[in-house]
Amino acid sequence: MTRVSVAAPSAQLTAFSPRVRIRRGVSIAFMVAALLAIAVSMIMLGALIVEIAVDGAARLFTDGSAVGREARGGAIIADLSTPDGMRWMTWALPVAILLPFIGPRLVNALAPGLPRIAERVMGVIVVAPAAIFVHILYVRFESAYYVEYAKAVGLDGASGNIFQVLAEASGFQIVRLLVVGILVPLAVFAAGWFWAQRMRRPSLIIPTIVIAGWVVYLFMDPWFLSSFPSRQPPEAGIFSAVTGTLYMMVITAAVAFPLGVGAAIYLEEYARRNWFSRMIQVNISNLAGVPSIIYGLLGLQVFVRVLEFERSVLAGACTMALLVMPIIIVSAQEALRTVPPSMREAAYAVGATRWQVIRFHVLPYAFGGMLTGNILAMSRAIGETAPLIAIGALTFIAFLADSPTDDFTVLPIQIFNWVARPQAGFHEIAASAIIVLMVILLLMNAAAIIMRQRTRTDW
Amino acid sequence: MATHTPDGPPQDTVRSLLAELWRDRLQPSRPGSGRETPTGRLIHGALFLTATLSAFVTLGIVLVLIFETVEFFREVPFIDFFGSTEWSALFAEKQFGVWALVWGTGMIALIGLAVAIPLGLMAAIFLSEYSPPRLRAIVKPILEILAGVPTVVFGYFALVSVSPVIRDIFGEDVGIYNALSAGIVVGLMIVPIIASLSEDAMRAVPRSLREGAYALGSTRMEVSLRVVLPAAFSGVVASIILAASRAVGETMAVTIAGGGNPQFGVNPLEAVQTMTAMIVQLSLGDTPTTSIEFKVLFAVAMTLFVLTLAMNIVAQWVSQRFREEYE
Amino acid sequence: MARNFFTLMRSSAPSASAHGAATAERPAPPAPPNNMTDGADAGGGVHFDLTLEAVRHEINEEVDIALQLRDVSAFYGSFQAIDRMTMPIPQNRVTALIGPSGCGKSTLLRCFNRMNDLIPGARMEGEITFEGRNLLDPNIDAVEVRRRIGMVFQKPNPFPKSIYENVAFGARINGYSGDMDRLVEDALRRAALWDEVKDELDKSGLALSGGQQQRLCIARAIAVQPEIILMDEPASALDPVATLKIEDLMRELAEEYTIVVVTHNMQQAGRVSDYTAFLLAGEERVGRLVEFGPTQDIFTNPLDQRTEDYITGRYG
Repeated sequence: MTRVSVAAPSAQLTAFSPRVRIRRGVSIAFMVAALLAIAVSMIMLGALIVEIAVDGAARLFTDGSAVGREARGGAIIADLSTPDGMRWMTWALPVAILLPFIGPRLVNALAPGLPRIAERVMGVIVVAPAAIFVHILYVRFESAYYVEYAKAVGLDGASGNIFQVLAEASGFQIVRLLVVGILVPLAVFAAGWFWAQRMRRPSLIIPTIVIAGWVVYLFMDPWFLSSFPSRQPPEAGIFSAVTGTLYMMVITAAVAFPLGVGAAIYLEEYARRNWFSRMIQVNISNLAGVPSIIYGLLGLQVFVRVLEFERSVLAGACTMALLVMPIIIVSAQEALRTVPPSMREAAYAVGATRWQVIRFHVLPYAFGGMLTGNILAMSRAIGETAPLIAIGALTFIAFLADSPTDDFTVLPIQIFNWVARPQAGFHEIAASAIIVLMVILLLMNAAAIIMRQRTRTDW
Repeated sequence: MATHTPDGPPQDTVRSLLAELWRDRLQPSRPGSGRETPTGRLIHGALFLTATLSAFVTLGIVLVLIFETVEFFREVPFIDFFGSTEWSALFAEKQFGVWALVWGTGMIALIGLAVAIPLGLMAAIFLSEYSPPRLRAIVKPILEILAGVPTVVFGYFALVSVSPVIRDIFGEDVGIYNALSAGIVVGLMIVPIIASLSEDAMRAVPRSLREGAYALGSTRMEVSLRVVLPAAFSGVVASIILAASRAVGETMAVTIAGGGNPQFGVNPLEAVQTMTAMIVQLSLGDTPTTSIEFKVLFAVAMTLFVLTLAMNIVAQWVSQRFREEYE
Repeated sequence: MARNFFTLMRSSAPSASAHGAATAERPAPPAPPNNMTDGADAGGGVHFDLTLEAVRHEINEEVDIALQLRDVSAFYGSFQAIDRMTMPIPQNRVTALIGPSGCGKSTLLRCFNRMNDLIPGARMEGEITFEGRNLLDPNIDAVEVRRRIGMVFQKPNPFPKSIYENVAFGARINGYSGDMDRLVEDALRRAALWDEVKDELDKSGLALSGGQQQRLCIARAIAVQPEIILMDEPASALDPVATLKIEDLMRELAEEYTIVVVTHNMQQAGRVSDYTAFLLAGEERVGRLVEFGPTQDIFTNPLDQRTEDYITGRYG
């Protein structure tokens, strides 16, 4: 198959030096560098989350009673920051990752010939209790969390083991032990198992359940959430900040959503393509780039001083509404653009007026997308601090706002206030407050994602 | 199909009845606007007002800033503001050299960009040119999470995690508040902007261009750097400018971690103060609205506004002017 | 002397059995006229094996083989696009791959320079021998393969750079150290574009007309000194005049290069190619080689009923 009459290589051909190996090496090195860039970003995000979790979890899970507050008992996740917790992680994580892969193989080895689905089910049935048993043994012999916890809440578990503790505990305490001690690790195992089985949806839902369980646990001990700020870090809570945040968010959404959606409807459905609509469009995209603190100054002058709202929830909410309006407008416009023109034409063809077409055909179609955009805009607003500082929201509020004209504070401002103090104790509770903020954010984003998928499948 | 039949009257009756019914509604209307009922007109008007609100917001910002800024320059000469690098608004002997603040802002933004451009661009290239779809499906949402983290959280991270590491590296005489730690977290904050917008621009480059380059014997890196990156250049540059604008306007992280020391030095290990941090600092105290400190707030904000607006406009201009049109 | 001719493929036992299986699976094709091929054998004319079910024609000229395919199959994930194709690509000739849409012509073409590697999930089996080595061997570097086997695409895809840079790009990345100006001029001359663009080499490649863009892409491919140029329906996006120019160009280029061209256009295949391969996909959409031979024979005397149907326009 060899070529017989090979033409003499031309001068130009010999001027090529292939160097393919070098170039390929460089190319691979480049890919590694690019992968590193992503890894660095991820690691930094991970570091951020771990740092906050480690600093803040302990405080968040501190028991409500004075004894419990010192003992730090009960919560396994809370104590991940301790050496014992770290040791727990060292075995639990590999096990959580490996068991789902081992389980079915184990079953297959013990009882070959089972159908695949049975293998999977058996795999988890065999392995999960084993994992829990190992966990209980570990707790009993290595760290004795439960025993410590029992001491802290006044149970006589010091001499006994976990089962004695359980026997002595009240119903409430048992639930609590079960949730944290068994449900959480079980969920971790299950998530890993589903992931390994390529059942991606459950593997994502289960961590969500864990987080929800975590939140439930939080509210079973709502001490941090239900206390007002204090000059003493161990006494301080975020009651006024959380309620202030929720209060402000409701008003912000009530103001921003109609205005933003209205503007989007006008721009998409009514405006002709002339200089005016172009100007508005450019203006909106520029507004989205204005630093948030400048909105704060606008709010300070317009809402606080001219309209005399004072430093109230209302002033804060109006400022936030202006800040997030560009986001709502743009996302609502995108939602409106997904409405197929054929739908509008069909409605017009049966004699509907423009508003009827919008009201009965376009809006119902695009509403899901608009709501998603609104939630994302709210999740931006919930983390904004600077504009509220500029309008002068207070940092120390030991009461709850009754009306929209009351003084208020919000979570990010509370966090900022605590971070800005030099004492480490305040940094710790700042981290706890950050966890609460991030959980709220996460829930909002999850809601947005679910809503986006829901609306997508509907159509 | 209505055909005319000898005993046709019924149809004619129907037709005339319909004509009666529709006559009112077939009045000539303004061309192109469609017919609108009074309700329709009302709604049209209301929607128009909501759309113009955004223009009023811009107008409001400009007016508010200009008003107090003019007041400020009545008391302080222009040259003292733009001609000096000394800032001491809170001391008895007041200096208003805004360059100290602009410098602090610029330094932190530059450190941020130095972190974010390599990370963001490499991440964008990886996601667009190398990544299997599955990995991209995981990495992109994580980047979005990074973009959604509140800035005050990044401030905490800078102060509690990054700063101690910097002190470990450069020695204990480095302050806990320094420009470097603030700049690093600002960089981290804007990585998602660069990565995501640049990746969008790169993925918009037609596949056929990549194939053309591969068919000439290019490696993946050569395709990425010599074909895709230049073709997506306008989008990439626009993403960087937008990220820079975000870094300049960033407030909480630099307030928490950057310190409060307006100065004109080049050492990134020292504390600096940015324009935004200064605004926060002055807002936190109870500044009387007639005082010069209150007015200078707006002069600084005006500077910040003009700076970020210019950057945003340049970004828009770049992305439109230099966009390659493929058919 | 025999080595200068098409080398006879040995019809080995496995491929014979594969043939048997394949025939059993397939809806019975019109029986190949065995007596004719036998006659060709007996006549001592030079011929070669295709997959056993494909029809072969005599070749009456002395020609080298640039590429020899043996049982080449290609898969996209679990979908098989082409199935065990065996055929030669004669050197310094224009070979046309024809067949209806979805018969695997482009897939086959993209096997020749490993462009399929770029598609996630794509997989190739079999052998494509190029200078004694199997191109599909994973140890063969696809980058070097593509340098030596150039490609021109269906839609002109010049880089958004100047005309000069478009042509010089490939040479630069491949470490060309000679006189770049001469190389660019030479490539543009060979692509019959030089006279039209010599005064505006700094103009963007995208500013040219469609036909010019396509010739620029040909110049770009020529500039890296390939031995084979693959063309994937190079004229399908062009008007008739530009098409004619590209066809003339192909004839000229065939003196120096081996050209493989995928085309939908029967007349074009008839006009420009020396050899033609007719591909067809069965009901399961797997492309198979039906007939290969000198273009004249295929067009005037197709041996397979399906080829005749296609050429006379009964397939659409």
